[in-house]
Amino acid sequence: MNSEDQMDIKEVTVHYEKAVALESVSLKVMHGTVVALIGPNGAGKSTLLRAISGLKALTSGQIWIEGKRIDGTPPMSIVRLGIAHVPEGRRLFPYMSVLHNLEMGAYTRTDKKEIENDMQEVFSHFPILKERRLQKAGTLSGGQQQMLAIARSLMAKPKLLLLDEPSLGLSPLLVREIEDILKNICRSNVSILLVEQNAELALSFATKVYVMSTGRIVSEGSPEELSESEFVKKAYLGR
Amino acid sequence: MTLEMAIQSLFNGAMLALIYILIALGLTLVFGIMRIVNFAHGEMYMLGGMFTFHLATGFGLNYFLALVVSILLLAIFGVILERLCFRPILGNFDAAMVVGLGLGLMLQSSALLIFGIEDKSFPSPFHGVVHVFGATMAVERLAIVPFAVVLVVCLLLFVGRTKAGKAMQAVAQDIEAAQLQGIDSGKISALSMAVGSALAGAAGGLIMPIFITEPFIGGPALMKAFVIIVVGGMGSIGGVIFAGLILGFIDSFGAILFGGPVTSILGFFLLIAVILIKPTGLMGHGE
Repeated sequence: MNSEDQMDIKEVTVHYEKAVALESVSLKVMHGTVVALIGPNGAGKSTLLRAISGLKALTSGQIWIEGKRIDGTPPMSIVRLGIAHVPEGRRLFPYMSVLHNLEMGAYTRTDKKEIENDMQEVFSHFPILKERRLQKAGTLSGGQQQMLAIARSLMAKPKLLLLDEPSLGLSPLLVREIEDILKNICRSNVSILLVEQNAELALSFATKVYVMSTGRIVSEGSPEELSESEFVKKAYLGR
Repeated sequence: MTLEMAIQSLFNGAMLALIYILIALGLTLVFGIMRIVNFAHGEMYMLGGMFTFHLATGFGLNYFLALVVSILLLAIFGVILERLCFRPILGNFDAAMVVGLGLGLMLQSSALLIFGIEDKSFPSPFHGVVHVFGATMAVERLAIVPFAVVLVVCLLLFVGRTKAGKAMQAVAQDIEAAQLQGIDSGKISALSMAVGSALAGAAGGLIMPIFITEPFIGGPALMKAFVIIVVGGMGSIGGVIFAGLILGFIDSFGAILFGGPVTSILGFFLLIAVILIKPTGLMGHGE
């Protein structure tokens, strides 16, 4: 195991009843990088994130974080390992305010002063959230909800962020905003494992890209390598 | 109905409403967080009365101390039940129903064996009567109102303002998302059963001096609480308060205006009406 690997996923296989959702998937995330996972609907990308965060049990395989094996860890212990998962569909607490949603992001932390500072920082990066901090999260627009979901995950001060389809349902303008937010996050040395159907977004700032299809990794490489691949071009970039 | 009767019904309604609310709050909390209905919940109310009675008479504790100790005992009991009976069948509503019913029967029979069939009551520490706008009211009944209100307010503050309370809200709204923030949903479930059982036990202890406490009062209490949570919206605290008030006043005014049997039918009419018109409950979010 390379000491530069932040996360090492080794031959992970996951089943839903008898159906294979992931087959021998292997993937690595290096410290301070953005790894993109692209592929069509149903490829198993979300399942992989759920397997990492403990929401789905592995049939076989191993998941290592910074030299420690974490598969089998229950989801409620994952955030203490420095991993924050923003699931598909945002999964905010709809009847709680923006403020309370953010507070829940910092649930495992005990440093009150720091939490307060981070809250202020979040508000300066996302002024719209500050404006609507008492509003119930379920009443926000799609783009605002996505921002809140990302902001909530940042409140946990993660070292690795698992992002599932942040651009889903958002207008191109909003997608660009999300892109800027994610670029800011990488700058602060938080690694990101980004699952996206929107290949353009993923390729635009990832350092490494994996392509998945029907539960397997079918291709991997740098964004440049993959944008040149005919297979990827046809399938995901519509060229 | 004379003015005197109306005023008595008003205060009586408030008292009944608060007792109903205390019992139903527990049921709705547990449903909201664990997605099950605890069919032994009525027995928490019964045990609250039993424990308070026996601590006060058998152990000679002052009534208030007996009440507080019973509430704590019921809270502990709730934690134990969550661990032993409900956690193993997590999320399985039907299994939880069977477990709850069986548990309820066990508790009723145990209470019968241990405490006996005689009706228990204990003179309230509050004596005498007061006159309000010409109506004569027993102090022991009126006294229940402030205690119950304090308990309800404490619950609202706990759920709305404390970290644990907000964690309870989070688990109720999206359990997976809550877990991903590091919230231990098992502990939160145990907490909800502790608080729920404690509140029902408090209701039992508060009402013991003026009503009858015997091993089988849990059933009707559960029925009433169930109607309230469906009418108010399952999982909704505001719904319980709203529906509890409506039913409390229906029962108190109904008893004078229409008599017992008709009044119980009224309650069920309300239930049917709500199910037909707004099935998620008056303040429910939609399950």
